[in-house]
Amino acid sequence: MVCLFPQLLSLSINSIRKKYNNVKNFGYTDEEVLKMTTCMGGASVYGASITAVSNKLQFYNSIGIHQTIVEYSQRLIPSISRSYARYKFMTNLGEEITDNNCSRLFMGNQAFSKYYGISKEELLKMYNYEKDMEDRNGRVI
Amino acid sequence: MEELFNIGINDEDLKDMLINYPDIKNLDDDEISQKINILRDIGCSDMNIRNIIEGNPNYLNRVSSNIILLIKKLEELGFKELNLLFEDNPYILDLDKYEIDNYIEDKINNGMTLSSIVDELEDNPYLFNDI
Repeated sequence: MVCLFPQLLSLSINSIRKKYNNVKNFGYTDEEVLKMTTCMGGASVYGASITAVSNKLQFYNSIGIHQTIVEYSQRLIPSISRSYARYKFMTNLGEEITDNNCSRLFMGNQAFSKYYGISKEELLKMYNYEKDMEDRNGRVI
Repeated sequence: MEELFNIGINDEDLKDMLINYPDIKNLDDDEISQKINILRDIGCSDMNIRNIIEGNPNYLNRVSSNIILLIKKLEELGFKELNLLFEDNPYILDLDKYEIDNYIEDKINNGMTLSSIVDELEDNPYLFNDI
């Protein structure tokens, strides 16, 4: 974990505890959070801000892909803006995204562009996470 | 600290930031503003900026000219959406331009192309931690 994310050593115990508990608050067990922590995604759990991680977990829970994050915690790394835009795009094409069928949501940028014929920049322009959340909630996230 | 509150950082976030990086309290609003504006100039929204600073408060301690050199280097290499790249791994902003140069040179010497290096780093910004 420290090799993957050496900055972990610069965080206070309190920060680490808060970030750990933040993930647990989204319905993950201690074992699941520990599993995420020791894989690549652990860097995201402890390296990104609590707000950024919360936004991702909230979104993944809302679209029903809670468990994939435990099995492949590196899926916590991509930005919420990219995952949101891809999700909207794929579901508009009629694709069903579930815990067992979400690998394309997390493909590399080049592979995704090649498969769907759309660039990341175009996707982000089409589906703007922040704007959509503001429209939906009437406030800034 | 007013500038930090304006982008949505609250008292509790600030307390956590100060525990990890106590030097921040010595920064004046102009210095903080300058760092925030560097991020605005590359297209960061308040949400991106808040997440970057909350994730890596040490960014505020860095020398502005070094941050600008780093950003120019990344743009020159072909990185896009730097706002998302820095939000995903705010610690990238702790790097210096020469470290990126050395890393790219090593990878190219090992047979990778520049575009494949950039793709790899964009797909997993935590690979910057290898630098």
